[in-house]
Amino acid sequence: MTEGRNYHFFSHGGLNILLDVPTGAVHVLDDIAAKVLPYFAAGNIKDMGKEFSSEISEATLAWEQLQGLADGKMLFSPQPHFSQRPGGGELKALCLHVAHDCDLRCRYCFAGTGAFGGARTLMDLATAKAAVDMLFSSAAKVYEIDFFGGEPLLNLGVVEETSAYARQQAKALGKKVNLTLTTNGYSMNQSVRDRLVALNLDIILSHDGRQDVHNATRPCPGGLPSYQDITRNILELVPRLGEKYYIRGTYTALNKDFVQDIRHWLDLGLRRFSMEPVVLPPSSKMALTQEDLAFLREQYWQLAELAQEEPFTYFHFNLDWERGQCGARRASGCGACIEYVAVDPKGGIFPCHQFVGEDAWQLGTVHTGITNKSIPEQFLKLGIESKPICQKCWARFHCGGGCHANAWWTNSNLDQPYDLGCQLLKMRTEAAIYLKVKQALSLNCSEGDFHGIQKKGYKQAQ
Amino acid sequence: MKHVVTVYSGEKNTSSKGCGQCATSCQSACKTSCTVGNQVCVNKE
Repeated sequence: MTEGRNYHFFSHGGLNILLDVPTGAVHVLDDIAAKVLPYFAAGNIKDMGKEFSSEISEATLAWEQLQGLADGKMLFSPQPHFSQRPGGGELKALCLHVAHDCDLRCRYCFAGTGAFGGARTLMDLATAKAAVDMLFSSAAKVYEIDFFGGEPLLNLGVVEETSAYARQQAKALGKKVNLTLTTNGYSMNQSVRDRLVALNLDIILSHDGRQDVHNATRPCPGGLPSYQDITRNILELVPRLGEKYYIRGTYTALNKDFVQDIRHWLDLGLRRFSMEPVVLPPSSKMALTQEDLAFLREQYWQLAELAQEEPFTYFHFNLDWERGQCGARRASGCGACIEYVAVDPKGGIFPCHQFVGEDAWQLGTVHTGITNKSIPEQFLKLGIESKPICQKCWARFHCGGGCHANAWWTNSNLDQPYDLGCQLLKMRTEAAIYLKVKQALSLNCSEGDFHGIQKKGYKQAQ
Repeated sequence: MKHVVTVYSGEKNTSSKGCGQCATSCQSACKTSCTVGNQVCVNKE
């Protein structure tokens, strides 16, 4: 990999791929242009002549084509600056902890198996409605509410009534609200499934793949296996949801070969998923380490190859180059504490779900509003421009500076991203770009053809 | 001979202030791996 001057270059599967970081422009170079690139980036045409003595005419041509990209602001483009958050930073999303209790005992749970370090309790309807009212008092036009826990199905009645209330209020205000629910699926019997379908939510279903993996990581209380019940429930529900679901898996040191778990999902007929690296202290036996990175890189490349063989939607390979988010959004990154807050069962407000249960991070309550103003002041400054490491990183417009909670819990510093997570994100993003390039090339010209791309959205360098 | 193929010409309007109508990062399929690169703008066709 070569970094500097706001570009990133990498090779995989016979493709040399060049990313212009600020604009996201993507180019494919042949081997001559790939060798010319470092000379071009350094403005060193003299030494290039020495290396390419026998191919100097083609090297010069490649240089000119790279110059054409730079002239067209598709290479070495300047770093844009963003003085404010998109839309002014209005609160627009709630993570509503309707249940601080859970019917599983997942071994990597960040939420203390559902209780977040406190009492096992459920949110009442009045608190949920007050949270919705607080959200809707902002000037945003589109709202998001995620019913979360613990396990939200333990409080399904409140989910139903809150959903109805939120939709009714949004309609009255002439605004839009999108509702999601994140569940482990364990108590999702026929009756519950019917109620969920009737609710018309987007549903995130937690499942870790192969039976032995899932049972090892996501057991019931007492260590009993949960795979069979959960898998059956998910397979009964998913066909009724259309595209309104994602399977959400976590991989740990126990299943670094996580592509096998994705293959398992595909065998089950599940086609929409995300598979995320666990975040645990290094002392945990399930923690991922720096030593795992080479193996995990190969897993992401394998996943990119699998994506060319079978149709599926893996969330982190979804690069929509035509409809991607704007630069301001990408620069501000995670909306925690500003555009997004979490509300615990008692109505306490926290910067996000990963800070819930930490008194020092409580912002206020749904009844008082945000009274601890010093915390939002810290978060408001966060983004790729506030983080020195991000300023040097080619992937900054893909992650927006990373997860603030992971930064805090690993480094006790909101400005210092979680390094292992950054490295995994970069691997995943390279695989996503590679896959996107492969798909674009296959749509437009035969393999190895550097002469024919002219289809909508993809154009040849002049 | 072409040595360079542009697959995506990039977002030129990088100075846009943004409308703020998009979902936040954590309202995605992952919940613990925040990202902005995999989400779409609700106002682009």
